[in-house]
Amino acid sequence: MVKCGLEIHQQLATKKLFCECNSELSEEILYKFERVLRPTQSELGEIDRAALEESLKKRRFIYEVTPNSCLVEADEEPPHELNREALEIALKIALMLHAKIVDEIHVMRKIVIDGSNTSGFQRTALIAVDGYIDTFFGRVRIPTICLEEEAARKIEEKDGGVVYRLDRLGIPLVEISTSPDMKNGEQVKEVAERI
Amino acid sequence: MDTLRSKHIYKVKILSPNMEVEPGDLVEVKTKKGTFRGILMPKHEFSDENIIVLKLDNGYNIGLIPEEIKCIKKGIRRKKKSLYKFEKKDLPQISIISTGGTIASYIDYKTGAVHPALTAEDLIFSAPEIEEEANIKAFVLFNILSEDMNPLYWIQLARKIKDELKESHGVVIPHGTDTMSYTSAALSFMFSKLSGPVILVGAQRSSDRPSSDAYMNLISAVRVAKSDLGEVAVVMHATTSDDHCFIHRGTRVRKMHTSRRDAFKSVNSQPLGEVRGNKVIFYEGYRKVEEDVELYDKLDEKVSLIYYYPGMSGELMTRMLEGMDGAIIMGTGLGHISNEMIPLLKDFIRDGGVVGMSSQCIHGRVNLNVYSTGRKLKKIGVIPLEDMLPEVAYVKLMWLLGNFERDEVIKLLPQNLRGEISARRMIIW
Repeated sequence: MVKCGLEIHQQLATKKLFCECNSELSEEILYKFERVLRPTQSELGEIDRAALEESLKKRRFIYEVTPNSCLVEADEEPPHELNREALEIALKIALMLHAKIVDEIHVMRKIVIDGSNTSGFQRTALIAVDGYIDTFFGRVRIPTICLEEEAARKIEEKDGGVVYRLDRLGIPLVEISTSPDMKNGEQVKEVAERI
Repeated sequence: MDTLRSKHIYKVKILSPNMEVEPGDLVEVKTKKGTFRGILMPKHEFSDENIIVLKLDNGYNIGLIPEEIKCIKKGIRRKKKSLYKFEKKDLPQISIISTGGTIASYIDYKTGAVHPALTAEDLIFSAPEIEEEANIKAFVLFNILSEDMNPLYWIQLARKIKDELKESHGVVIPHGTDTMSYTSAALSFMFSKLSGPVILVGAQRSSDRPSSDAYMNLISAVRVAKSDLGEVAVVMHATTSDDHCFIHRGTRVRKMHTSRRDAFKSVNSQPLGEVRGNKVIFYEGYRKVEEDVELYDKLDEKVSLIYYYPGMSGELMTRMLEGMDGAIIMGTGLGHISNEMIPLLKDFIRDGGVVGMSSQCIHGRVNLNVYSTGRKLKKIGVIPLEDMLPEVAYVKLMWLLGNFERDEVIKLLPQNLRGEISARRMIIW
């Protein structure tokens, strides 16, 4: 028997999630800077020095600054308030998918140290739980709906570092995850299209 | 910084039938929307008072209105040490005296919350590699926010530094960044001789984030503390990149940005040097360590720092001068204030007050000879303070009034004692 689940990411065409930059891609490079990301204790628990040194070797990143990136994307200014418009869209989606909206939304950090986030974490918020969508082949459960920030765009990998562009970093993203309730390709197609 | 301020205390009475629950515990929460299981997180400061925050298995935090909470498993608490000492042969001893601030914070890896470092171990936790650099003797002297620093703390800190320099090669002082340059100026004046480097260091991003500048700043500070610098300095990121730190003279440095890593700049002068990887490079002209330490630890707190602005009333100026022994004015441009203020200052100086003039331009030298207002100010005894930073002048005047007679104070205020004044300013700034 086939069992299938989906994780759908939808970018929102609002301003970025935590600053006033436009959500668009850009080919214009204004400036470059270089950073190192270090695993934190939350990731490692008790720090093993050898593991630490090994991980540091691979963690030099070069960031390309575009006209639609500001100090927030550069991790040089605290995030602004969560974009209202993006939040409203996410809430609407949650209601349309019959999900239960949490009593209080908390933005939290998901540690990501491959350099795709200048901060070393992705800001993400669980908006709603326990939704569903009814299809021709039966009900598909949607355990979580999240609102999160898009990662920076990987441009190239070279000796001694990975190059990322900041244009995409911070674009709002609604993440809809379904349970593995789909039984055939037709149903997957239907769910994907409806969402 | 925000997380440091949160109290981590729930006002909502937690209904827990089996035992008391604390942040860090694994709990089961019954709500109208169903039952949730996860780790109880510290309360968020902006959270509604009826809400508790839970970290779910999938890593997400959510706020819930609880009906009942059941403790499944107690969280593990760490053991604490108050003094941390690690010894290795052939390495110099460096004392780390923590005063608080973002750099002296650590993350609780169970809950992800940032706490101020209360113990030496917490302090070393974020950068265990510094043990390869020196024999570290670390302890927490204060645990205060930078904005709560004051002259009494400066004096206590200076005395502690003197003690530490008896056995340590140098001293590193983790400090909140907001007022770090006031502390560095105060220490610069208080020590007329130093037998080892005194290095202040801070962080603009807390150590709970992989991108934190705390690690590079701290390790660079320790490297400078091993050098022959006989001055008080501030070591912080030179640019937004993680490639090198600047060594700023304690009397020349100023926080020039609210949030950037490279917020600290040497004003009206070049930095003393830089730290690139494990290389400490001094550019030119720094004071070397001396045989012993000489400390003048008195400060007269009766000094005002007055920012002049158009529309400032004479009444307000009078009140700011009342009961004071001295005042530093941040004038406009080359060092001006409205003509209405001149008789008020004249009376204050006649009654024994000392007044110095600096500029709110921050960059450049004051000059009271160019315009008539300046000449009038000079005539009534206002002392032009060259290119000294206003905050540095404020600290210097406190120190001078605390340790010297008035005539001497007036003579020394505009003189260069600790590199706080220069004769030349460069085209490139």
